[in-house]
Amino acid sequence: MRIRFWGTRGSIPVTAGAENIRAKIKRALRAADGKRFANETQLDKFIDNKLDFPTRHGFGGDSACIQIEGGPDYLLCDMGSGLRRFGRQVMQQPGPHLPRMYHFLMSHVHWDHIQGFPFFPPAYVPGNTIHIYSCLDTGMLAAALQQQHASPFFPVDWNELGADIIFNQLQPDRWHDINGFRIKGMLQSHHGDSYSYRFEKDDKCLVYATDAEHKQARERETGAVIAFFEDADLVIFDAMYSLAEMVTVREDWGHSSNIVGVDLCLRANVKHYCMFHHDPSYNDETLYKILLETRRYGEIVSDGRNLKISAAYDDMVVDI
Amino acid sequence: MEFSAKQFDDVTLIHIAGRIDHKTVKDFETALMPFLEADNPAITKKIIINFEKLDFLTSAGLRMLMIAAKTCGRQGRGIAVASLQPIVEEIFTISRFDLVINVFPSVREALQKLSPAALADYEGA
Repeated sequence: MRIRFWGTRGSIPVTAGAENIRAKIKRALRAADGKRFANETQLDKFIDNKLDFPTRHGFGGDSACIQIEGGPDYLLCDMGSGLRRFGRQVMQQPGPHLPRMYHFLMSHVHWDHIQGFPFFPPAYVPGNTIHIYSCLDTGMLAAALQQQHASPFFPVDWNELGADIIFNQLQPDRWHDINGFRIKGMLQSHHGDSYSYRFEKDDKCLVYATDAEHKQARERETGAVIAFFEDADLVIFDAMYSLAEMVTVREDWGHSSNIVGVDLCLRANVKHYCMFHHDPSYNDETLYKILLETRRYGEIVSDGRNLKISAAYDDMVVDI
Repeated sequence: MEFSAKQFDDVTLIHIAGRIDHKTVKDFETALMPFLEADNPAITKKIIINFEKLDFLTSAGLRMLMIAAKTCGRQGRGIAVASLQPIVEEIFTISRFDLVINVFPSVREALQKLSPAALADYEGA
């Protein structure tokens, strides 16, 4: 199973910003001061080995969209702004333009999770089929997607899309077979509700659990989350806030914290915990600092258990 | 987790030892609750929790601490923590709890700031 991250931000897409780019250039120039690079290979080696992640790369700014490879057709979670780049990549692939099938699992319909769809070129291509699945009421889901295509929000009406678009109602807490995967959804605490999804195939397991506030107030509810995460190879988790923010000024905003993710994943015996839905106000340096702090917290509380901790970035690829 | 409490003038000084995680947080909550009940005639104006012998606490423990802080805040009372071990101090920094809970280097400094009368009582004990 391969997971590609097309968008990893929460709430709204962001750009790097001129000040941040300038700061990166300054750091790179300082690191390169006095060095000579005979060719591109040496330059690439310097970038990869001598510049830290926030300087050489960064986390990107598109909102939530991931792709799960391993089935016959395309399978994705959510339609944030990252979907635009996925759609462009599909359209640029060489070969005959045969009709294609897309499957979308939708966590919920907040704007940052649907705003990429009007910019998804395959939706405009006759012959393509787009299946949209959710444990949310699909009537509401369809209305939300159609509304963002309606005037005055967007110039192309939903009825002008060329692809066949089919909405599929899923039942929570039950297994469904979609595109070669066993998939189960679970209700999460979020304004208007959201759903996490567990994907299983070939003894591998991914949990996509974004936009959820895990208060850990009642052990019965926390235990249900741990059971849903149990033994997963990868958990993609809403780690938007610090714990202090989550329990004070941003309480009941529907999101979790980086260290709550560590604690839940350790209890669930998860192999790899991936922080997701990054706060749009954080730049690359801040997000990287939070990643290092989260790893340190994991070291302190893990009691020797092995939990890999990463922070998702746009275009990241994880094989499990 | 071990819990004990003693009153010094208008301050309740609570000592915690061990760890506060998902396994022990219920014990922490049960032990702490009587000191947060507004109708308890024995509650004091201020609470200081001595973390000198606390090995670490997880998000579950921090959450309980925030509930205590909010409860005290609603009652017009104060709460602070003191004598954090380096690892607990790290957890406070990582969770940003150092920005929302009063943290003092020692119990003595906490008492000095919050209640000189309690400090005199503490030093005379």
